[in-house]
Amino acid sequence: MPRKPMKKLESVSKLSEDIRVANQLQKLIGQNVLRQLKKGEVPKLVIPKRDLTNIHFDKTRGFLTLGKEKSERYINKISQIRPFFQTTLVGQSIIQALQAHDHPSLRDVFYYCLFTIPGSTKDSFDDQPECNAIIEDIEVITGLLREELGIVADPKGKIVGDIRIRSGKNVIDCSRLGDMACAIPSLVDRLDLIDTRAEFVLVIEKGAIFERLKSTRYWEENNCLLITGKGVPDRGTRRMVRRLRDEFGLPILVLCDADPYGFYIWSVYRAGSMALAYESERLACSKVKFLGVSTSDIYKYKIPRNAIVMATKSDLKRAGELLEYEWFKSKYWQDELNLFLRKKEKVEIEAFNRRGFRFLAETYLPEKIRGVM
Amino acid sequence: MAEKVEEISTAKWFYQQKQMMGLETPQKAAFTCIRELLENSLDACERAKIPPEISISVREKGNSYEIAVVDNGTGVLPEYIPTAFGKMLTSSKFKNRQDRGLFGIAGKSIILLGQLYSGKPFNVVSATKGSKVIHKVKMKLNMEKDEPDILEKKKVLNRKKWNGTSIKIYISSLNFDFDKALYDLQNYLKLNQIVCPYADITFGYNDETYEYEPRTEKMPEPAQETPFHPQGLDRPTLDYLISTTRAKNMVTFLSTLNRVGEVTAKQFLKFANIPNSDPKKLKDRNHLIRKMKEFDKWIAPSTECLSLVGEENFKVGVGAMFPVQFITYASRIGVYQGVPFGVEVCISVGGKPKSLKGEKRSPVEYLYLYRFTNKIPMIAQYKSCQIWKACEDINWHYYGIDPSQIPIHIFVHICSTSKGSLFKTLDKGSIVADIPEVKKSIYLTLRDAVKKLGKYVKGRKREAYESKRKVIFELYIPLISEHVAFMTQKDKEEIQKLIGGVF
Repeated sequence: MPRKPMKKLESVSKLSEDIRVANQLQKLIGQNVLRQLKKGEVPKLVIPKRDLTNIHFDKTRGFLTLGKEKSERYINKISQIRPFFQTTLVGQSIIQALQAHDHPSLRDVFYYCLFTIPGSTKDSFDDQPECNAIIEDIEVITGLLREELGIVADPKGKIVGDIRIRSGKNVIDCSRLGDMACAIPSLVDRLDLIDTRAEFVLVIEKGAIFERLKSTRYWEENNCLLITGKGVPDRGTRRMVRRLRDEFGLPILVLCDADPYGFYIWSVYRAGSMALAYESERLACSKVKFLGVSTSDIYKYKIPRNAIVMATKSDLKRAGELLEYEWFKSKYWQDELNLFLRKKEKVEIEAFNRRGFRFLAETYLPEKIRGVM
Repeated sequence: MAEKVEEISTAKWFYQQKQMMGLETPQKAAFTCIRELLENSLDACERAKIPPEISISVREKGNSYEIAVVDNGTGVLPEYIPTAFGKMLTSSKFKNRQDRGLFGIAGKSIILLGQLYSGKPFNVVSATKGSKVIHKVKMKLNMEKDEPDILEKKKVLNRKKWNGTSIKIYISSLNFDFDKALYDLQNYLKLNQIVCPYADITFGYNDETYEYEPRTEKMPEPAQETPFHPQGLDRPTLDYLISTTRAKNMVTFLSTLNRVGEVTAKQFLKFANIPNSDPKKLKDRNHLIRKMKEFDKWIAPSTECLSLVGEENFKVGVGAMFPVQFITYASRIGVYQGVPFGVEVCISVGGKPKSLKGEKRSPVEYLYLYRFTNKIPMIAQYKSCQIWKACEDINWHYYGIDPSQIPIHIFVHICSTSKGSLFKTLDKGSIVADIPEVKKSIYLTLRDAVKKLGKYVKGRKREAYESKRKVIFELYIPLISEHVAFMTQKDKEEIQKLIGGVF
């Protein structure tokens, strides 16, 4: 019997969502400035600070967030009027895109907003990073993620399994794609997750392993959803993972290589990233579980010597950094990381092939999953 | 066998000391020649506060040059003409007054040398103010006698009521190279106009004429002869004063000195343990000099013996020679061992900054520095000069000035009466001596001027910043108004007005 979502997202249709966000933007920027002007105040935009000093780990909710510190951008300060202008410019552009139901990429927005300021030789933006920074400013000023603002990126993630999703006018059944998978779009919040029969979600670091398990129809045999972020997951993939947890309560299990980079990928799903700490609230999922491969698994599952690789300097450095993060402070992680630092060894998941082609799907995964569920 | 010791006349001695006179090379000789004659003429005019009109001409005639200098100064009384020009050592030495000329020696050596090599006599024509007659004298300097031989003497009616002096001499082109000296001369004349902007000088060299026009009629008060100050007396001067004094006792004698009255004189005599007797009978003159230097209750010397350029003229002079955006002036009077001296600093901003190659240049190297002593431009011997060192001591950065970015021209004039101690060498390529009081005065005056410059630079920076600021705001505000108007469905002009209101 397919499971229906326990919690449904508020949004309705894609088109009305665009208009709703556009109106919200107009209020949060335009009306905001006008209100200050009418009061006779010098208009300012209040922007929460995004640097390291204002990033904290929220213990109760279990992810990285921005603190309370804000910076103020005034219209009458010579060093701030240019970014002020850029903010209203990008704001207006986004609104215009939304009103036209257009979903531009970051680069599209940059080109749309690029012009020479009349009366000077200076351009509105010197380069795209300058524009990206303004978009981030708007995200934190308004509390709206860029996906909600209708700004898309090139999506990386894929999903396959027993789940039905409505997107626009179509319903896609991800169990009826043959040997193909469904690309997870940027604007996950414009999707309607209808129902699912899966019992858990397996999130895989590497695209190649995802392909392997998909082609052997592991998801069918084990009644799960397979997702890959192809490395560090993009925002769409993380949002999807979060929604699956929030709306269906499914256990989320992460499968990575046994090295600090893999551990870090788990932590991105789990706690968020420093760069995008302001959107952890929507994208981080504190219930994500690390399945493997852990350092101790290397020895437990007797991976042969010739499949084990020496850890590099940067691996060791990263492990040292991870030891300090809040969400690696559990006994489990402290033991694992210290073991890694002691042994200085790592393996890729493919090393399991030394124990046979089907070892991963038939031995390792079932055992580990039984252990955590 | 003992060597014969020959007596040598003064003239001969000076002839042999060419270096001292600045005559070592033909190029230097040519330069010194013109400059000496010019300086004499300038002194003659300034003494009577007459705006100088001086014409100098150098004409090549066969193997020699004919040099003629005419000025409109005070002129020389007929009875003094022979000694003034024909005798090497005449005493203006014991005059306590700022002058350009150093005993007029070099001018006379020119005449001497010129005559020696060309074999031709020299002519002096002169008339004093109000004289009905112009005196013309043709002379030849007698090296053995050290007195001139007068070959001709004439008197002509002074119909045009002229006053001044005209000298014509002939010098051999073997020892004087005017081609090479031309550049230095032009430079010198140009710089001279800075400190004497009231001078009208014409310099003709063969067919070319160079005019240096006056920019003002205002002349400074001439330096007055003042009595010597007790602390500024050396032995020869003291001897001279005692030998010429009419005072019967020490108190009266001392009272003739600069700013010394009876009370101070009596105090001093008590201090020095010298009786109030006839000065001519004083036994230990060196003791007197020593005690005068030790006594600390003298009043500082008067300063009428100095003649500064003055703020107005200095600024006019600088402005006439260089493009000037801003100019400032500071001055100070100091005393060193009874000798007063003046320091004037004029700083102008304008023209192009120096472009120097190489990294890590000290800021001082970018300064344009011009030095004057007793209103004479100093050309040689740059970096060991105290003025240069004072520039190095200034903390330019503190005043917000970067000399490598702004073209800064610094004009420093130092004047005094006693030249021996203040200025190092005798030949007027001179540099200022390493005397702490002088050093300090130069530095403080320079700093005063630099402070004012600093204020100007700050003001300009602020202006530039303000205008840049204005431009930036004017660029963005219309655009912001557009955006906000779009987002609020209001009129752009209305929004722009509101924004303008908060500035």
